[in-house]
Amino acid sequence: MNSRSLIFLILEVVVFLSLHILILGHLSVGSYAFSYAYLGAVLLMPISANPVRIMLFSLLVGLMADSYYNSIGIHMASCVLLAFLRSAVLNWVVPAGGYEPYMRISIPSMGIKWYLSYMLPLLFCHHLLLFVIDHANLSQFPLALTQAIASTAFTFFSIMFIQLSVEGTRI
Amino acid sequence: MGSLFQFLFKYRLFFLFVLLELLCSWLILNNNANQRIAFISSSNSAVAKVLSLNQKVQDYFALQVINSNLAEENARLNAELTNARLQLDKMGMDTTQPLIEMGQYTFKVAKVINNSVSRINNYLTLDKGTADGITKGMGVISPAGVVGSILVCSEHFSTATSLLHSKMLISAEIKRISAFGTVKWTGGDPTIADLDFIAPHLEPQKGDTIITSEYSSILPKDIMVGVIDQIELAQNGNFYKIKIKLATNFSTLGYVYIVENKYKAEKDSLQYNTSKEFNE
Repeated sequence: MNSRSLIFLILEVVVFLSLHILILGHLSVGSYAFSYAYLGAVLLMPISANPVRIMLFSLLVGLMADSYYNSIGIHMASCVLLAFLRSAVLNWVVPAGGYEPYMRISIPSMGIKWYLSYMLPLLFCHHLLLFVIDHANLSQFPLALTQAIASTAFTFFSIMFIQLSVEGTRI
Repeated sequence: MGSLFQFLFKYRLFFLFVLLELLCSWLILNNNANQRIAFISSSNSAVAKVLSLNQKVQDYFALQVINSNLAEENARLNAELTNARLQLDKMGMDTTQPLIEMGQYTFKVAKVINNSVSRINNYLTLDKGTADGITKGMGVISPAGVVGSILVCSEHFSTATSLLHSKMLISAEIKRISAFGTVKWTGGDPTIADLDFIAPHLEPQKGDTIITSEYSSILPKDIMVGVIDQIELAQNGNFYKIKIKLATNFSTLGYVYIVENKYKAEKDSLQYNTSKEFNE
């Protein structure tokens, strides 16, 4: 990883977190769909990044989100799960020829189909755990499930929107 | 040791994941009131469920003991009830007469270990014998009604003549009109018996209750025998032909009570002597 892409990476993380805190974190569709766009900082890490480092990094991201939402531990737990599943999902959706060094997690680089099958399961798992812990009540599981499904769509579109506007169609 | 580290290193991502999740859980439970309350109450209810399941299992194994305890208890209560009823009957009468002594009847629980209903002469085998104070001629009843009387005793077992026996006669009365008769089983259906010697001037009705009469020296008064099922006048017109539905279900007998009448010998010998004097 050269220094230019490292700077770009840090910039991207800052963009995701600040955009989330300033704008997207305040948005919601009814009481069902919420945007957790800060997850883009974890999800869009380079494919070749060390999984252990990703997990520690996502713990940090979760801590930031938690201090924003004032709910210490809840987002951290969900983010750690996200980081753990990330490496597994990357192995499942590996393209025919394996990952190449030039490949990046973006629609122009990997195609919309790969992008969807990578993002949606991860976002859904994260959101489901988040809402289940948040409600702290299994009798509200149907509500948590509805919110997880709705929020998965919302978060996905916000991440895609931010990524496309920051990176353009750069491969 | 080396292979342990190798193992830990191979799955380091997973162990790190578990470790971090535990850390997060600890943080959540320490800092979020809602989640802490949910955790405490759900762990409490889980413990309570396990405990109640444990209790259920233990209860199941204790059922046999409880069953026999209940049967003992029933026998005791039955004895008290019968004696109290006897006392009550006598009280309404001449108060100058000494009341009949408490405890004319004693009840002992026995388990039916063999039983038949399909032959012409049916017998029961019970698990109490002379060692338990059982003797020939004692009455046998079930919680539902009359069963029979003891025929032969060994040390630990006894055989009882079932009501379903061609030679078994039970002195009975129709409760509503106090009409005395004799209950006799004529074979066939083990739920149906005959009530004989009810004179035609009486008016028995379908559904009337048949109980044991005071004439019997084997069984206490007021033990249920059955209910009238079918009434017709006999061909010669002297008596009714009454079919009764027996109260006791002989095919499912489990526990029975053996009834001892303390004054049976006295009553029998008096009656025997009377008839002898009369015949001489």
